[in-house]
Amino acid sequence: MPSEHQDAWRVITLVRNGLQRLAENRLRNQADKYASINPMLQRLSTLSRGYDHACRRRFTGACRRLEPRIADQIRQLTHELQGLMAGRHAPQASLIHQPPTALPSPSFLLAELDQIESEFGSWEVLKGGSSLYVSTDPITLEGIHLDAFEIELRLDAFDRLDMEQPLSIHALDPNWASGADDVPHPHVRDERLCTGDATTILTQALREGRLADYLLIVRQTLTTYNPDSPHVALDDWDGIPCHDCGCSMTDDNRSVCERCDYSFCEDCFGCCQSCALYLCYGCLTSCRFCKDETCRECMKPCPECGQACCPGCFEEELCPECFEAHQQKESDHDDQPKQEIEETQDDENTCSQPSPPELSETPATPEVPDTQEASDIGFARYNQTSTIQPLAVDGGGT
Amino acid sequence: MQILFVNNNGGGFADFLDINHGTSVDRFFAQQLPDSLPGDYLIRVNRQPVPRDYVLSPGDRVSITPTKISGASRHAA
Repeated sequence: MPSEHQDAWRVITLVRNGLQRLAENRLRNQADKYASINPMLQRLSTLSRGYDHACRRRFTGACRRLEPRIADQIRQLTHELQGLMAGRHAPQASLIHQPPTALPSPSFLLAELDQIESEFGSWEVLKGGSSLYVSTDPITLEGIHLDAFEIELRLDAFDRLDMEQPLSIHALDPNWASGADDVPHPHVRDERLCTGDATTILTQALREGRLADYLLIVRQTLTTYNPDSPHVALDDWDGIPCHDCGCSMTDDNRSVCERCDYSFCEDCFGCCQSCALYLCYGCLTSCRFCKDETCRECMKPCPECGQACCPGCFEEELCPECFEAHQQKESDHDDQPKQEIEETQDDENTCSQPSPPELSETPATPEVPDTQEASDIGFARYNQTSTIQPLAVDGGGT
Repeated sequence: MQILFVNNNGGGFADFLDINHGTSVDRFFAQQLPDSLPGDYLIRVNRQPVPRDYVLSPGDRVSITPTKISGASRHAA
């Protein structure tokens, strides 16, 4: 048999076997899901029989004890059944719950291979291999040249179709995204195409053995750029320039200044020691006293000299220089001679205090009343309290 | 007459449809996808590209595949 017929027959055999296993797996998975409720049904049945037995013998206490257990079992079973019903109505489930598709005939698959050849120019199966290979034309997306890609359809992996596409994308002459040597295309990482909107139609095409449609859909996905969710955006394909030094960065190793919102590399980026914001060096400055990196928002002017200072260096709301000068001034004031202070205080007292009344040291002699009795009592009392002290005067001001 | 229509737009299912005799590919497309432009699709009849005025025959297999299909990234998916 000519080699190309051998290859075609190999593809046909692999596809039919793979689809057969896929159908069997799906039926098996569904059977397992239905079987998962069997233990619950058995427990409910056991409880129900026990309740019936207790009821017949009028064991009301036993009935009361069984009721909450039965209710709980019904709740669990209901929840499980609802989950099965929800699974049947899920979008992806529509593919699972379709009637099993008849296997594509050999002639059908041969026609598929003919169409693949006319659409892609050629197809290939490696000797002893189980993958079908086709190549695209060079692809350019928004001016970024990505060159051609090889599409590999793994014919022995159809049974995992419900979990992942049996597909690999190889870049023939890759133009890697900057800083990502596993991203040769915005929607391909590590040779895996993220199929996005194409997922459902790919799965359906493969289930029906429509290999040509499958490969056409993959090709159209590769030639379409979705700017909403690429691995690496085309705008950043050649890297993002640092706003300061201009070096090329990837999306993973760039930092965005929280003040100016520009992107910077790690060498052009720092942190305010006061507010802990991550900022570029254009938005940071250095405190002239402690040299810490501080943002311009945190730097405050000293009320004395007007020089900017970081919050950590302020003392009693003054910059270190003014605070030191103030301290020195107070210290000089405290060291002035005591006499000067007293003289200063006396002058202050003369000028500011009212003149006290003139006082003599000898208290005035009271007049003795005429009546002897009154005089004995009053005079004695008067003599006890007759001492008059001169007024005290405060020395020095505050 | 009956044809097989493979619609790779949306659900991606294949269905047999009844159409009038003498229906062209262009007209069939307008009936099935009235809000779309033929230029946005790969249209094949019996696995071959055909001119827009090609008249469909009974048993023809017509497939329509969008030219723009959006992929995604895993973290977005």
